[in-house]
Amino acid sequence: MNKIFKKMGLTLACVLMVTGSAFAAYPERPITMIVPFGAGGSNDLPARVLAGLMEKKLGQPIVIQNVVGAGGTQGTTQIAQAKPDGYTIGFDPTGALCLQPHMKKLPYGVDSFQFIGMATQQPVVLMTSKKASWKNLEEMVEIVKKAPGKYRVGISGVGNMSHVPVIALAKHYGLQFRYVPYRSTPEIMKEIAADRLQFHADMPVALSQYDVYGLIQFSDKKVDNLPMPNSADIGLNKNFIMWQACIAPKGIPTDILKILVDTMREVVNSKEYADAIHRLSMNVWWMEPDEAQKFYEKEFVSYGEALKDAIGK
Amino acid sequence: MDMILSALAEVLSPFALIMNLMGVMIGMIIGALPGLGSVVAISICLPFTFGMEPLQAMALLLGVYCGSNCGGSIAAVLINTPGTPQAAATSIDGFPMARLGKGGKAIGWSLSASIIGGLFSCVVLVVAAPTVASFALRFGPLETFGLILMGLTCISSVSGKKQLQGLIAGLLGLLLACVGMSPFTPDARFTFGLYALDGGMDTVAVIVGVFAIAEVIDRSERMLHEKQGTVINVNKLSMPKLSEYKGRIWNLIKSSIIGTIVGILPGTGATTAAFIAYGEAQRSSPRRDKFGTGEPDSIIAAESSNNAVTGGALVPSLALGIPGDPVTAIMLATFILHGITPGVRLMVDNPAVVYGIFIALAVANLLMYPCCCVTTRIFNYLLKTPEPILMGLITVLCVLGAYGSRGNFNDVAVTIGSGIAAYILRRCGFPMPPIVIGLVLGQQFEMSIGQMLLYKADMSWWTYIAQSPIAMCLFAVTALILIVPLVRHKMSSQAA
Repeated sequence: MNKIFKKMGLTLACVLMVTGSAFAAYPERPITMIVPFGAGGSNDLPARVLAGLMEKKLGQPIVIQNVVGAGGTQGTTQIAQAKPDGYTIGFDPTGALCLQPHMKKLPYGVDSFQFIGMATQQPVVLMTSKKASWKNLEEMVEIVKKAPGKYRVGISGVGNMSHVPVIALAKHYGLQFRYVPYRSTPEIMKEIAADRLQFHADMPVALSQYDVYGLIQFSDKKVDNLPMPNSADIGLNKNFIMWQACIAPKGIPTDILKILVDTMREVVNSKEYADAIHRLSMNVWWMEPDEAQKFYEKEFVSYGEALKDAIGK
Repeated sequence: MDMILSALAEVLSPFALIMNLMGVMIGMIIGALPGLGSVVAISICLPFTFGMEPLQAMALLLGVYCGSNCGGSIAAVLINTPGTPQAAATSIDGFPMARLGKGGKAIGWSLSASIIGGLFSCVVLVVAAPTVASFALRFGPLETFGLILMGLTCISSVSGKKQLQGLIAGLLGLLLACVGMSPFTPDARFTFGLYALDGGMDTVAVIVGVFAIAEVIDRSERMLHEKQGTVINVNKLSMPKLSEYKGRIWNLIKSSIIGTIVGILPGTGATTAAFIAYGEAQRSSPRRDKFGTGEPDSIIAAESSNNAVTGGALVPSLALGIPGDPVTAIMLATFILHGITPGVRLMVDNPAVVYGIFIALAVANLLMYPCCCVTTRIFNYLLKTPEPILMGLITVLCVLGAYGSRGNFNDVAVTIGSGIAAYILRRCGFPMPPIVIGLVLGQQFEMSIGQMLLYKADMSWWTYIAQSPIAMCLFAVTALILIVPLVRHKMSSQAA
């Protein structure tokens, strides 16, 4: 009798194991990818490219969900608070991950996420109108120095990636700008075209869209298609690089994480992905999750210092 | 010329035409559902455009854009719940008209006005885009402030005899617009420490609550003690005859001009246009006494202007690469995905695409007629469902719409909360449109005030304002709008 029970137990265990592993055949239903910015923007389009290629490999659709509001923090909060089962992941840029948590109290922090990998990176570029009276950085510095407070910089939010780099540059040269907040890049570009604003710091993609040219890229490495000086050239010891990462809430099971990481690695290193990303004037950037996590922690601290420097927050 | 013909051939090719038709149809149905507006409709269609040719993609998106602008009015007329924010002004007279059994006629007025407004803006786009676009550049913070100030005077014109309540409601709207992160400091305001409110009040969520949810509560309450609610028998869509347009043509043209201009200026949108045009019609129409009781003039003003925004918003988008509203911003992003760079060089580098867009927009406007016939019919079936079920359906759609607008659950709470609050306010005799005007204009109003102060810096107000003739004009017009009725009133009371 005991033997039979044992056998039955064994069979049951086997069955459970088989079905258990069948249940674990991740993914068995659609995955949601939260993008904390609006559809069609520079944070949304690369996410759609990545999701489109990843879902082909995973065999389940990845649904983009744009959760908009409060500088990307509403969506990022939803990523952090999602159930860590691999069915909710997110696509998040530097600003929402590194700057916003220093600006105000948020329900997430540096330790809320598990990185799946890095997707893109591009340096922040300071742009100015092609019709401006300066033709390069030195001329600009010279002219602006003579008229403190006369020239205006359009920013898309206080203490974000369009604001902090310019403050660092202004400190470096002892320049005085006026910073005027706007709701979106297009509105700022309109004002630059009308010469009400003179400068705006943004991702390089804006260079090809609007009638502006780049004065400086905030990076210690030069990017091929950006013919302008970088931070190292002028002795500014600061990097402001916009990166975008695919992240999951902390506590995601390791086997599921591995599937996501493997898929993403394959996609990010594919030619298809590279072509689509280049069309958006962005650069492909892959980084393994552990490295990315360490990199993020370092960035988090350095942005905290940059903010303290810039606006004493 | 060759370029125009080849663009014409491409836009009228079967696939592009079907895309355009599908766009209008999808846009109209989504637009007609309370809470789901243009941006949602476009976001839904966006992924399908990835595999298409640029012009086909544009045909689809332009169709959605026009269709959703027009579709919102169907729900506004038939069930008093505007499907999109820009249709809020349409319900003021559209619903009373439907109650009189002339629902089909009301939709006919709104459709014909939409088509003509859309085509008007299309002509402006084709003929004058480069010239007019430079006009948009002259609108800085000060000019925007002037325009919004003028827009805010609509609060008085939509309030009718309830001026005090209207002003209070408008103020409430302005306050709601301030909830959330301040654009000028890294602080949150009016959030009571609730993190959920940091994102501010979503316009769609509040409008859906104020109009649709409040209407549902109101009807449910009436169902309790009335045996038979006001059942609207709609009938077929019937277009107004040309002779009926007699004496209303000037209103139509003026509203189309207002819509086009508001569309051209970045930072405002269809809702603003509809209310400004409504206000203007209310001031100048010879039938202004009948406003609010089912007067076609008010429908014409609201609908022609909100659809004229489409062509207007494309002017800076195509001529300068600067989108005029969130919808055109998504369209420009689609360009980039297809390897076309929007911007000042677009017309030079890709004239075929630009001409194609002109034609597709015109075609989309014409396709609105068949699509509206179909959608109205669908609504007829909907209206035949028993009222309790219909009300439940609307509530579900409202919740979905509020959630879908920004993908945020907090907005659902905002919708329901504002619906209940609006119902109570309505019972106390407060008019609802001023809340929406305050909320829609408020965010940009605050932004322009702050920017203005930063630009003014240490200049005196006098020198700062004197630099801008446009702003001075706008201020003068605003002053006239406010003073003239007072003078008129005084004179008529003296005469009496």
